[in-house]
Amino acid sequence: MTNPQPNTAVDHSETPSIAEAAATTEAVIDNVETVIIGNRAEIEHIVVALFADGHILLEDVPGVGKTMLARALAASIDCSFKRVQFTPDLLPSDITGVNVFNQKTREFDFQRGPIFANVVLGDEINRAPPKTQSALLEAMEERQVTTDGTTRPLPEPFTVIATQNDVELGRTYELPLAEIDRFMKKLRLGYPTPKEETQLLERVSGAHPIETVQSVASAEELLRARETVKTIRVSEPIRVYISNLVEYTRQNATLGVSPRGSISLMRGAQARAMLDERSYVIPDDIQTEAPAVLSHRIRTESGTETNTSLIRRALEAVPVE
Amino acid sequence: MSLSTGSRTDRHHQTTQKATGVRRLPVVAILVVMSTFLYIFYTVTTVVGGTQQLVFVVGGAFIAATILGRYVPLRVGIALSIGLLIAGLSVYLLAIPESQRALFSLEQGAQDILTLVTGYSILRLTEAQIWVLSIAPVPTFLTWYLVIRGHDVLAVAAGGGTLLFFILTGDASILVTTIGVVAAVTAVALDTVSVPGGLRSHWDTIAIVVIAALILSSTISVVPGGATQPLFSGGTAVDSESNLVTERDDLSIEGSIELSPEVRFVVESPEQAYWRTASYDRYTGEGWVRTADSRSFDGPESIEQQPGETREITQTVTAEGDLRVLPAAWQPTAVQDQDLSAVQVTNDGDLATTEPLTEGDSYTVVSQHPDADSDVLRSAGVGYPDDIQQTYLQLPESTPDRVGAFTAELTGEDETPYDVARTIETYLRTEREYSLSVTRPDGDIADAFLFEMEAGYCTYYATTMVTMLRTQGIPARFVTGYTPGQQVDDDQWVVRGQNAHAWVEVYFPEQGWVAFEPTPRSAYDDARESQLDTARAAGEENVDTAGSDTSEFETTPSPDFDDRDEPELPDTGSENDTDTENDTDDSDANATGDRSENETRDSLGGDIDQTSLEQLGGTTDDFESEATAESEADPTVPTETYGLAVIGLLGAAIGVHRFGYTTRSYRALWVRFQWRSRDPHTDIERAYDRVETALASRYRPRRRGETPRAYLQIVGRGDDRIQQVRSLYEKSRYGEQVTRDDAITAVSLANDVITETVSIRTLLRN
Repeated sequence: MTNPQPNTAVDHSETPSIAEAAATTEAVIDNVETVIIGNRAEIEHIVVALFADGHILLEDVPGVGKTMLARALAASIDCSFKRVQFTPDLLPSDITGVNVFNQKTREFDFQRGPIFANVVLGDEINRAPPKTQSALLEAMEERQVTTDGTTRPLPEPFTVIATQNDVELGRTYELPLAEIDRFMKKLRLGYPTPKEETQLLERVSGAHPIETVQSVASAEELLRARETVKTIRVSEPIRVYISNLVEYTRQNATLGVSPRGSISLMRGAQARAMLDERSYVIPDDIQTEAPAVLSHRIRTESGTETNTSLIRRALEAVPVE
Repeated sequence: MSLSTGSRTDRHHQTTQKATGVRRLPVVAILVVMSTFLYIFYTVTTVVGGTQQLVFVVGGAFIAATILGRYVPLRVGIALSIGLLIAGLSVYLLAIPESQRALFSLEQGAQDILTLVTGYSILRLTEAQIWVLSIAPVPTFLTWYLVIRGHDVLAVAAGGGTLLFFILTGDASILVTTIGVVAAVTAVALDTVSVPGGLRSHWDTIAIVVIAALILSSTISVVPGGATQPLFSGGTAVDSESNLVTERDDLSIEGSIELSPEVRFVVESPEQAYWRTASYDRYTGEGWVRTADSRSFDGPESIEQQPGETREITQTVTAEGDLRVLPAAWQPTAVQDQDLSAVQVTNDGDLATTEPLTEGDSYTVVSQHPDADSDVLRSAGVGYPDDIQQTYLQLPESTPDRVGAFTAELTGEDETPYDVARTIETYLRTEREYSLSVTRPDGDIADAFLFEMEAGYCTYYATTMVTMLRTQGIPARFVTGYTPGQQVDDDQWVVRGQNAHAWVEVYFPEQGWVAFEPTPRSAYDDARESQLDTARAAGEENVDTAGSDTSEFETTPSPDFDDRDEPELPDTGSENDTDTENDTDDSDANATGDRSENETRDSLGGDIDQTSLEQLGGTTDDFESEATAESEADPTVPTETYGLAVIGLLGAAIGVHRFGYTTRSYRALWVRFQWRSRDPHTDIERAYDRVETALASRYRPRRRGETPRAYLQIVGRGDDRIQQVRSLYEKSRYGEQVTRDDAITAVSLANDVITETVSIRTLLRN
């Protein structure tokens, strides 16, 4: 009866792999933080998405560190990193690669595009026309690229971090829904606080820290952590809760969250639980992940409500199971 | 509230066209209100006659209201009702005997109404029958007319107003009052919520209001001086004196009564007599009413002295405590030494006072006592004056026929009214046992005493005798007062509360009213004597006065009286003859020269007396022990009290339900105690629920979309135990298997947290 000592078995006695994965995740987050000042929550989101095997879309005004964040993340993992600057005249083959005729062998050799990397940074993705953007679709969802009838698998791990500028909308193309749905999360960074900005200025006054950032995890470790995430238990009440949340968006928005969205939410919550060294998902994980995972997937009636406010409403209205 | 679901306009629309099903409920309640006052009219007519005519006029009023209600607008209908009322009152005024009508003036009329509504029963109106028949159609018509017009609340006001009038006159019994009040409240309440769905959402409120009205109306006496007594005041025995000797004009017959040994007054008189205080003429089947009016005393000449032979008795009465009546021997003709303005004389010749006497006050009354012997009375004949016949032959319509039939058979051989009276008197004295401990019968008292009861006290004897006499066409009335009391000197009698008594007076043409005593006197005296001894032994105050405890007469209280008052034996077939002899014997032998009505009817015989004394004494002893045992063990709590208690509890339960206390009390218990189950998951989740409930009552409930963790980070911050219970709960609900140890930990932590942080009061508050 009287056993008032904290029950350490509850939160901390996870399988070693969870603790290990959590440690890896923590290390990556801390490492990114050495480059990016503030935005701890967003960094966590991005790292969690990375470990949940998801792609990330960063949307904000220019200059708040979107690209820097993506670069820091890629640098933290010991893996290949490619960057594509999307422009209106960018062609699909500029991303996927082209077959080049080899004079010596008299054969076409496939010249791999920048998509063949572990981490691909697509900068200002909405400046490219839909045709080019669609080149990303197959890569993002199926982890493979098909050119001239030949399908080539992408390396593991494969993560797309895209940024888009939402101020100069005149010279942009709206991302097709099918593509936007393939991003696990859409995040905004926002401006740093004055205090953070002061700290930021101090840090970049000499050499920029991105130049010296070291990798803290191998691609191997990332893959193992992703496998661990898949073992996190998602209990019946949690599955019901996700379904109810998703159903709520379908009832209250012109376009609700797709089943891919609910899968993403579950995966994100699993990774979130892993980060917390927990072997099971709790509703709090769902609530943390839901705004970032769901809000870019819905279309509200124009003028009435923003996507984020609808998701917030859903979280308030749907009872926690 | 729950009504807010419908918009305002919707509600208005619904109210204006009430669904017929909902509308029917208030009408039923109004019909109940109507039936209460119609029942009162009916009870009056059953006493004074005219029930058939009442049914006719009320039925007519109903039909007229139904027809006119459809076509005649409200204003005209109300004017019609007022006209009807004026017409009814006019009919009544015309019916009043001319002698009394002459007295009528506007001022007098207003005063009469005031008198009526201060507890003056309708039954006391001389022409009560005509009053009922002319007035009854008015409220019937008005109430039903308003119902037909759809003005439910006005109808309740009309019907309820009529009932209120009867409550004020004291004619409405407490049960009728209760039913009427509850029905009126229900009608108004139902009318108020008669929107679709209104009843469903407000039934509990209505139930609470109705039950409150029910309990209040049955426990609070509406009129301080009125006849309405609290219905549930308890089943204790009534003081015989307050029941018998009262300054009020009605007398209800009670169940068990008690005797007060306190001294009331001392009489100085050359002879003993029954000290009379009041007479009652109208019998309701359940009690007595005096219809006679009081008027002030203008001196001896204002009293209409009854004819016949009389003997003058001058007596001086000294009050030993508050005295609201003026006891005197029949028939008082002059009052001295007393502020005359306070003295009143009724039409019946009773003395009354408007100002109670206090201790030490005294007055002297000169009475002209009837002195006719039995021969004179026997030859008085049956030539009764009209007004005597009209007033003193009344019987309730409900009087069973068997009373008359039995009396006719009993007195079949008697030729004169005097003989009939004697036979009845003897029959009652010998065939019924005296007991103060009786259960009041339902229905007609006389019938019950004659055919069902085996014992009773003076009220029952006297009531029965009057009823029997009236069935035979002999005018008789019910008289109350005091027996002579304890003789303490040659010309002095001490009268106690326990001497309160009721007897009978019979009218003889040319001779006036002559008293008869149907109560067996020795049993009567024995019961009082032992009561007095008990009181003396207990050292009660005011039991004795000047010499009454040391007097030489004490050991043998009023020996003469006792001798003379022995009950006659049933086998004294030749009593009439011996009576006359005894009469003369007694008057010769007794220095007091008492020739009271008792004396004229005495039959004496030493050994016979002994026998009857023993016999009656035994009975009395039985009664005494019974009465004592009963009063100690008491409480046969009346069924009504239980009923009221049950209704009260029901109301409380509905109230508790209404204000959500059932769930709250349950929750308060539920939060405190946890029974272990087999499944650790269940135990942990239950422990968490308890903690959450406790915190919810103290701070705020968890919001719908709020996770336990987020909630407890706010309300349970800083308490590791709460966080532990929470994480065990998360593990149990969302995680893997939990162990029995986990469950034990969670429950014990929850117990600690709840005991420390939340009180029962907090749990009940929200």
